[in-house]
This record gives sequence, C-alpha cells and structure tokens, in this order.
Amino acid sequence: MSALSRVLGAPGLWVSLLAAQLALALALSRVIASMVAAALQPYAVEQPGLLLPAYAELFADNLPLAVAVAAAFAVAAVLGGLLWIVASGGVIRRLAAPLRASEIAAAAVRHLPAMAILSLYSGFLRALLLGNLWIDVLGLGSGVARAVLVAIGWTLCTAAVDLARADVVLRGAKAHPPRTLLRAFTRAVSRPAVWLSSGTLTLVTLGLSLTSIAIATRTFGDAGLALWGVRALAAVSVGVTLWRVAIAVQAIEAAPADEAAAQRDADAA
Amino acid sequence: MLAPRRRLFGLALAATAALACAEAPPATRGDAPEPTSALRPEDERGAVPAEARIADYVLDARLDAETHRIEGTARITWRNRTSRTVRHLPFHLYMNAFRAENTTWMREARGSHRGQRQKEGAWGYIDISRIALLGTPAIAELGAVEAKPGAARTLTWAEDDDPTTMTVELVEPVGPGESVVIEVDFVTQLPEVFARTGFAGDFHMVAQWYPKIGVLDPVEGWQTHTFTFNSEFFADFGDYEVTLDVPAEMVVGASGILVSDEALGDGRRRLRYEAEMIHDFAWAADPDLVEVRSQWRGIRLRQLMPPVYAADADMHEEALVAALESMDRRFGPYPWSTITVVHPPSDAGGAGGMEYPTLFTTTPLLNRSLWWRLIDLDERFSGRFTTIHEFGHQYFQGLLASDEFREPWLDEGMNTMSNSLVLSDWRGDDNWVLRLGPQRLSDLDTTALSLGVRGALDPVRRPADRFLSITKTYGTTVYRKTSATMLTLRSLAGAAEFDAAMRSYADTWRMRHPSGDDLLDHLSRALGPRVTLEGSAGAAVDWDVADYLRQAMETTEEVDFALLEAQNRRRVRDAGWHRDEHGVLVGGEEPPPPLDHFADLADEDVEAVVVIRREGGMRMPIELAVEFADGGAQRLWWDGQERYHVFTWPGRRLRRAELDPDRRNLLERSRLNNLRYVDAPADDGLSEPAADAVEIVSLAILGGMGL
Repeated sequence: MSALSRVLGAPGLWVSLLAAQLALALALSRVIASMVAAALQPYAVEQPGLLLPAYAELFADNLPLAVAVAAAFAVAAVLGGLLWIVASGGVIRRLAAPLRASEIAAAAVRHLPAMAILSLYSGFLRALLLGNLWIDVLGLGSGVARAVLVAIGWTLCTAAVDLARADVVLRGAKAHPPRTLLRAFTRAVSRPAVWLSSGTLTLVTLGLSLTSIAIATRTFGDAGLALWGVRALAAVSVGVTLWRVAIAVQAIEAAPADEAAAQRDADAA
Repeated sequence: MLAPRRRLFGLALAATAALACAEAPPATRGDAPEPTSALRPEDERGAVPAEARIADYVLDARLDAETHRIEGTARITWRNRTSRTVRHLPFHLYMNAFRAENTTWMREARGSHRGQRQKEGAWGYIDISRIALLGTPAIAELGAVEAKPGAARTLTWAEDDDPTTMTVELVEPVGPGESVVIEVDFVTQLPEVFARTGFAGDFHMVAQWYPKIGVLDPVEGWQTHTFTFNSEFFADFGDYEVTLDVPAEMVVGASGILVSDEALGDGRRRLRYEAEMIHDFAWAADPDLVEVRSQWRGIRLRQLMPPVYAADADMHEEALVAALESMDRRFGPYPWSTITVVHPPSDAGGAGGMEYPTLFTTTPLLNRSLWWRLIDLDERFSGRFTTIHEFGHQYFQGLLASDEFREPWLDEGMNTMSNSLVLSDWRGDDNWVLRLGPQRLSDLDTTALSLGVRGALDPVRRPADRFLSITKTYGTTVYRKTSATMLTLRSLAGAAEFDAAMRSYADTWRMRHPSGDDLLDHLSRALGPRVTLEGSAGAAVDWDVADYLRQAMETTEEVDFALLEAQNRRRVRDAGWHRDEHGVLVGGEEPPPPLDHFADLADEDVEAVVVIRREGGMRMPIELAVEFADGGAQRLWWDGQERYHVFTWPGRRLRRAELDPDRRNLLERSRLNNLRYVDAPADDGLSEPAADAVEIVSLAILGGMGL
C-alpha cells in the first residue's frame, strides 16, 4: 500500500483533523471579532481600502486588542503543535492499519508521553535552526545559501521526527533515549527517497501556509470567497501532512526485521 | 531634516542590495552639462532682490582625508542693511557642538541623534586661529581668495558660554549701509558622522564646517542661536566662491556649480565652486561614489551614490522631478541652476536626510524582499519620500529662509505640508505611502495618526530648544501638526484660495526671512478674516481663520468630535388638555407613548436627533452628513464652539449620521467615533475583516505546525 493510499483510505482521520483546525481558527476569529466590535461600538467604519488607518487608530487606543490578536496567533501556534503531539500516536496507528475511532483515541493517549518527548527534542532542534545558530557558525549568513541550509535542516528534522515517532509507535522503540532520534536521523539520511519525499511534502505544507498568508493580505478587508479558498487549502495541508507521516510509517514498516530486532536489543541494553 | 520615523525606514540594507548589483555601474551616467551660471536665467527664475544679498563668503579649504580634518580660510563680506550700528560680530561655530559631551547640543543628545549613536571618542570641532579685519567700510568686491589685500588688522574674539557661537570685537563700528570684510583662519575636525556632518570611512559629509556670521534682525538685533539638539540653521543670503583642495580620487558634490577642476600634481586636485544667493555651503566627497546626471527644464540634476544604490537612481530622480514640477508651479520658480542629491553609504546613515542649499542628502530605498512581494506590501516613504522632503527644503528654508531655531515649524512643518501636495500632484488619488494588498495608507493618514501619540504636549509655535528630546514631540508637533493644520485649512477654506495665498506668500518672502507672524497674518488676510462654510441644508457657519490658526499653532488643544447620539424619537405634539381661545379646557387625548416608542408611528410623528459632542479643547467647525430613512440626505455645519450641539429634524427618520464625511479635518484626534447608524449594522466595518484575517492566518499557522 502506498503512503498516499494510506491517507486516502483514512478519510475520517483527515476530516477530523481538519475539523479540529477549522474549529480552532474559527473560535479564535470570533473572539477577536467580538473584541473589535465591543471596542468600536456603537460606531462603525465605512472605508473600503482605508482600513489600515482605522485599525491603526483602533489598536493604538485599545492596546489589549492588539495584544489579543497577537495572542490569537500564538494560541494557534501552540494549539496547532499540541494537536499534532496529542494525535500523533493515533494517526500513526491509523495510517499503519484500519482502526476504530476508539482504538485511534486509545493509541493517541497511550503514546502521548513518547510523542511529547520526541516533540521536545524536535522543538529544540528546530529552535536551533530558526535561531540560525549553526548557520552563523558555519558562516553561511546570507541569501540563498542560508535559505537552502534552513530548508535542508528543517526537512531533515521533520523526516527524522516522523520516523522516530513511527518507530516508537509501531516498533516499540523508546522515545526518551536520544539515540532513537539519532537513529531516525541516520535512517533519513541513508534513505534519500524517504527524506526527499517527506521534505517535498514539508515544503508543500509550508508553501500552502505562505499562500494562505498571501491571500490574507491580498484580500484584506474583503476576504469573501477567499476565506473558503483558504479553508480548502487547510484541507489540502492536513492531507499533505498525513501523507508525509504515512511515508514515515511505510519506511518503518519496510525496515528489515533484523534491523528492528537490533533496535530493540539496543534499546533494552 | 527628515523626521525620525522616516529615518528609521531609511536605514541601509547594503549587503542585500549588493547581491542585486552583480556588475559595478559606470562611474558616470547621463550627460547633463555643468551649468555656466549658478542661477537660472532671470526670465525663468524671476528677479533677485538686491537687498537680500548680505553675507558673501570666499572659502578656501583643504581636506586631509586621512585625519578627516579641514584647514581653511573664510573671507566674509558682511553688509549692514539695518539702521543699527554694529560693534561686534557674532558667529556660529556649529561644529563645536560635537566637541565635548557637555555642549548644549550633546547634553540634550546624550550621544545619539535620530537613532544614530556617536562613536566613542569621535569628537568634532572647529578651531579659530586668526581673525583679521580686511576692510571697512564700503569695501569693494575682493574676488578670489588669493587676492589678499594688505593692511589687515587682527581682531579679538572669544567663544561664548556654549562653544557653538563666538563674538568678534570690531575695532570700529559698522554703521547702517556700511560693509565689513573679515578673514578667519580655521581648522575643522570632522566627527565620525552620526548627526548630519562628519565622516564614515572614506565618505565625508562636510556641512556646518566653517564660521558663519549671524543674522542681524532690523528689530530684534543679532540672531545667533546656540546650536541645540532640535535647532537647525539660520543665515543670510549671499554669494559663495569656494575652493576645495581634495585628494585626486575624490568624487565631490557641492552646493553651487563647478567652475574649474585643476590637477595639483601631488595626488590632489583643486575644485572651484560658485553659488549665488544661498545661505549655506555644504559638500560631500568620497572616492567610491558614482554619478548620475540628468536635467529638468535646464536645471542640472546630479545624484552621487554608492554603487550598491545606483540601481535606485531612476526612482529617486522620478521623485525629485515630481517635487520640482509641483513646487516650481506652486511656490514659484526654483531659482538655481543645479540640485545635487548625495546618497550617503550605509555606514553613514547619520548624514542622510538633510538639506543644504542646492544640495541635499537622501536615504536609500528599502529592499523589496521576496516576502514583500508575496504579501503584496509596498511603500514609498523610504528613499523617494526622503528625496521629496529634502528637496522641499530648497523652498522651505532654502528660499523662504525662516529662522529654524526660533520657528522650526516654518520650514519643517510647511515643507511637510508641501510634501503632501507633491505626492498628490504626482500620484493623484493613488498617493499612498504604504500599501498592503488592497489597503492603502496615505501620508495624510500617517500625519493624522501620529497626532494622537505626541501631538498635544507642546504647542507648534515655540523655539526648537523648547522641544525636549525625551518627550519626542518635535517631529509630531513641528512637522505633522503644522502640516495637518495647514492642509485642514486648505481643505476647508478652499484649495484654490489656499494655494493662491501660499503662492503670494512665497513670492513676497522669496530670498527673505519670513517669520511665523508673517505667514499666519498673510493666510488670515488672504483667506479670511472669516470663511463661510455652507452645507446643503442652507445654514452657514462663519469660521474665524485667525482664531483657528492661533488655537492650532499656539495651544495644545486637540480636535475631536464624536457622535454622542444618533436616534429617532417620538415627536412631541399636543396630546392632553389645552385651553382654547375662550379659556376652556379642550382635548384630553390619551397620553402618548414614551418618546422611544416610535416604530409604529407615522413619519410626521417622529423626529430625528443627532448630538455632536466636542471632546477636544479646540473649537472649530465640523461638518455633519445625515441620511434619512426616506432616502434623503443633508450636509450641515456646526461651529464647534459649545461642548455639544443637538440637531433635530421633525417629521423625519434618521438612518445614518457621519462627522467630517470627506475626511477634511486632519487634526481630528479620533475618527472612529464619527459614524453611527440608528440601527446598528450587522457589520461594523472592522470586526469582520479582523476576524477573517485572524482565521486565515490561524489556519496558515495551524497548517505550518504539522510537526
């Protein structure tokens, strides 16, 4: 079974994750809408094309409102991350084999500590990347070289964490020893096809996010149908992310048994 | 000088720009010839008032590019055109502001100026070694500096309490109508540039570098202010003849025109410049500058820029030509034959955004990154706006030479106003300075927005040294409140009338020293004393222009009007008992419903009510637009004198009310309380766009967090 067919065979998983994201985004947007309305009432603004000065005045006079908007984005980031940490165990199980919803939920709960540990490791590595620490150390401080290096590091990190999570969930590897993640890195590097396909999908996800932000700014003030377009992009983004995870699932399942046994022995030691 | 917020945007991104310039541009582009006269022909520029020429300078200077030191001699011919007898001559020694940390300028600056920090130990100063009296009175023109007359008499001098001024004692008085010729030997040490003047590597921005005589006001005597943090400069007009001895490899830009360029044979060359009817002389030198030349109606346009910025030359030129076209038409012909734009390199940002006669420095364009294009973000305030602003100073203070110390608003504020007119002339309705997708922010918006932050602490009309750097009110008050005041006056009194008044002011005070009273009295006379503001409903308001200008310029009162109420209510009729003509009680109809019960009533039993509240302390008229449920509409004015005003329309139902519907009042502190519906609309105009944006960005983040 190909990775993509694993995703297409789990429409319920796809829809559930999408629904969670849409609900979260909608909830945040309604909170902000009601705060803006409360700050503005009983007045109104009718300046199509001139919303920037109106918002500038609104936020200048209502600093908590500006903080709330920033907080909404922070909440989206935190909850978005948490959603995947919580769901990963169940997602990986479901992509490996058909399961009932209750079994997916049980797998999610069972593997939550392990997923959290791997996410912490991953978060640390990504923070290093985003902080450009190593890029500065290596002297690749500007332009295309920096972008390429960040992309390589970011996609490698993502592929490795996916492999480590699948390793933990499907093969029973332990999450807390760093060697599990190190082994996943080795596996990603030694199997360029896995890294390449996973990395491509990671970049596609990033591209979809950037496209959404571009839509937000280019239609600012009159989103209209564009909002539905972004929701559609979110659906695609969830599917692409599941596809990426399915690649890791497939790679772990395809790993030779002796390698798996060696792993368990090493973990046990 | 450019406002601080714009300076921030002007910080160079040289490294990225360098990537964009794979090939070094040619050293010179364009072939506009050097003008042969410092002034345009008289039939193009108009007459120069003879009495305006007061202080001529013959400057002879040698730049040591290693020590960043200038040795020079200034021969100054000063004419006493007042009825006063003069026994001493005060001079500015502006460069001494950077001599020590306890000068008046440095005490206020605390080591930084508009975001640029002073480098450790990089002091600058001017040291006078000799002052001699060459002739008095009624001396003939002396010509070139080499023509040293004999019988010079040494004069005594002393720095004042603050070293940015000195006083020279004359051995005999200079009476009304007489002249005096003084020769001063000086050494100027340039500081490492952080405040307009100085050096950065091989780049030298040489400004305020020679001793400058003060201005003798016929009424108030000598005006030779201490150089303070916010104050700029003030000097008399005159002719300049300047000889610069510089390293041969230097590319030099200077006020005036180049009349000779002579190789000296020892790796140096001597450049000779002439300028007529200017009040300052500045120059820049750097071996790495490239030169871009062009022309506009016979005026030579010259840009000197580091190679990394050369690709931006056309955009700066477009802005410069737009400014020339607009201001030449609005404020009279540009009189000089040349304008030089210096682009300081990235490590000399402190030199950027400053004006000198026939020369100014600009700031670089912000780099348009891929990210900008992705989100459809663009701006015009970096680079191009600086070029427009600094060119504008050729009029507002270069030509209309007001005292920048006593009344800085006359140059910075009036120039900022003119910048808005330039943008409008240039771009029409598309005059945004920031654009994000379909949303626009104009410079008028930024002006109005900035007033709310620091616009009500200091009145506009006060000397530059009264604005403290710690309050950060100078830019908002002097630049933007002045501009908002004038543009609001223009909008309410009539653009054509205001423009005509400004033109006659510019014609009257060209190459003179107008005061704030001169301008405000002129505007009050030309536009007032009262302006009639008439709405569609017939009632008119007589607006006192002088009172408006007094409040706006001399007080800290703010403008803010709010729609306190916009509603319908039952109209009071005559239900109940009344006596008829025979004294008998008649009627006795049922009591009417409460006043807020009107939904089922006929229109004639309803009245519309709008209450406007003046929330700010400043009294001025405000326009109200109302729309009725029957589709009718009215516009009317309230004089804004009382705290509030109640408008009623018996027999009509109100749907919508809006204050200042055409956004003509730029002084208004808050615009968000200007529009109300009787029945709140489903969309207030801001909450849904905000919600959409938050949802979209949240989805983008959630998608990107698929870890």
